[in-house]
Amino acid sequence: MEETRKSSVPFLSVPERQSPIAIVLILFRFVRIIFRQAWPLAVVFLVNPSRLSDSWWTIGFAALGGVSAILSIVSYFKFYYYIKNEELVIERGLFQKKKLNVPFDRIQTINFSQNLIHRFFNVVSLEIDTAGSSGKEFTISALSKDKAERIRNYLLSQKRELLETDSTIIDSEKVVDATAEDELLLHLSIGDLLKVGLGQNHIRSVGIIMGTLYGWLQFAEDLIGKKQYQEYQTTYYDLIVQSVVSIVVFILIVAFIITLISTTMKYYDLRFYKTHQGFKLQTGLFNRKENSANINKIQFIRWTTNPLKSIFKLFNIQLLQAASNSVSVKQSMLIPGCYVHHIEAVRSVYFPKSDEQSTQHRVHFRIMIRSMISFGFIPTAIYLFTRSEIGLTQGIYSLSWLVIAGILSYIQYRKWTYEVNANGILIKKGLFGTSYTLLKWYKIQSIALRASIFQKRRGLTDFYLYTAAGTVRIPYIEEEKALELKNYVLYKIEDSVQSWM
Amino acid sequence: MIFQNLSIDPEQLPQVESVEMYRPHRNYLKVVLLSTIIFMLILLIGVIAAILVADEPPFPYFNATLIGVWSVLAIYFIWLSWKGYKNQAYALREKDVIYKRGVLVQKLTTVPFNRVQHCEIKQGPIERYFGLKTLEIYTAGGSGSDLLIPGLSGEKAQQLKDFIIKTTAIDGRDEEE
Repeated sequence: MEETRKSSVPFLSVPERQSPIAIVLILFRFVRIIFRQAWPLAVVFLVNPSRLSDSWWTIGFAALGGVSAILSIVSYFKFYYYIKNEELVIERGLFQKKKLNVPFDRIQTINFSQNLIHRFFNVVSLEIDTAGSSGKEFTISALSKDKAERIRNYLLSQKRELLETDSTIIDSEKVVDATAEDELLLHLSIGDLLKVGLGQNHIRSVGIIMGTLYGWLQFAEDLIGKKQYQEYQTTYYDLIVQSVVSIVVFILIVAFIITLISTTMKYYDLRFYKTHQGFKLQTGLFNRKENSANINKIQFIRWTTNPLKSIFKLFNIQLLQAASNSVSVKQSMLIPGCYVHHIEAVRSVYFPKSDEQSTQHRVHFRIMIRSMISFGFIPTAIYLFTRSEIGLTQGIYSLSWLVIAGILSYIQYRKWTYEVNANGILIKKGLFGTSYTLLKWYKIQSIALRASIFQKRRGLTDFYLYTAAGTVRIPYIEEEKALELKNYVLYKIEDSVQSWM
Repeated sequence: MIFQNLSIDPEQLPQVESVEMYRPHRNYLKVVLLSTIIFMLILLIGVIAAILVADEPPFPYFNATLIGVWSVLAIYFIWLSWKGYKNQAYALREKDVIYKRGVLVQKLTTVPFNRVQHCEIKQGPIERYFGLKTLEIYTAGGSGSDLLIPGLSGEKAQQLKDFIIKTTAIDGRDEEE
């Protein structure tokens, strides 16, 4: 890919316009805005088409369309972009001129995206994420793919040059061969895409449906009176059971198909690359998106699996990034359909293998007691308290709930472990599924120990690691151990010269 | 030692526990007590309004229950703020700032200077009356990781802020070299 044109004129010094396709895109946007405002009108005409024959309406619509078209064309001609003084400048504005300057060194990532219209005309929208900007302020909405890629490569290479001349210390991670080709780590095949769809969290949908159904039955009981309800129940028992079962099955199938379709639309033809600056992800059937995650911006990584996914040995990988200097905006890149070797590939970029030994630790068993109290005893107490009568049935319900809660608390306790070495920490936790969080020490912003009076009395504390992409927590550590770990991590942070972003 | 096989000797690590912690200014107790009392008085107005509005008490001893609950809450909140005042303390070390607080849930936060984004000094109306200020230290780690140290005399707050800013600036230069 050529990075600068070998001519006397510097790259993009002359203001340029977008691809004319932008007119179509702007027009489409207008139509959408108008429709969103005026859809009740459309309903009126649907119900009563004869009103449409009223010529005033026709004229009005024609005028609106005409004005939209003119505005689209004018705003296309009013939109320029160029490079001046190490800044990308965007000039735009219909009535009020607006000039946006993006200094190269403030550019964080440059993403491409495509919706259906983009794909039809084979153009892309270029979005620049800067430190501190919000929303899609710096967007050039239609560029030929070739052009967009040239601009991106130019901007990023200029940014790198700026950084390297600015600081003489060069991070070992920052020294990368800029000419290296992107390495394709994962290309989701149709089979794997189906597996991803199958492995979505259907358990949650089932739970929601069951909960709703139970709610309805309770409602029916309240509505027609308990005695009558029981009478109905015995008379029409088979009918009720049959209809309930068929409704459940129907909703399940619909929910399943919907998740399958939306997953396919979202992750169709997913390609995940390792680039010289981090990672790049392209996904989507109709709306094709390309996102980049800069390695310096990635604060920690997480990979998760659930019971369905683990049947296929599939994981989701999440790259958690500090979006910008403002903390409120957090970004994470989710890559579904990964196998163990993909995790290894991502992991080796973020957390290069070292000879450092790591030690494994477990959270304190008292976390079981806490889970038992909050998910076992308190709900049971509320349940029993709200019953009008407490008989054998209620007793069996409570007891079986307590047994389930006990088993789950034990599983949660057994799974919750953390592994520490000189470079970072790996936390494993989960209930039905499992999640792994990998965090490097120097990405941490601050540390807190937090203990309730009950924990304090037992010499236990929760451990919080705050990063620019979210908080990582380890509960129920012995206080002595926590203080030691804290001192160690602080030493690591304060001693590090690497920048967290 | 638990983390024995790590590459440095844990004995050499700075120990938070051995650092001398500083308490907030004496007047800060007045600030917290006064704000609790104001809050309780506002609540009391609500209680009295409820008693006056209810012509017929919804249940026997309605008024007494309301007043009783209010008094228990008042004593509890005053105890909480007094205890909270007692429990809070801060310390500055060579490379970080430590702050602990909390009664029912106790929290000990440490922010390394080389992760500080910026500092602010703020003052609420009650604080202003007693001449106290709050030092706010922000990192990029979100609201949970920020430090708010209240109950500092104006002079002290400024001193601390200057010290932290100076130290972070030096740290920043170190990284550039």
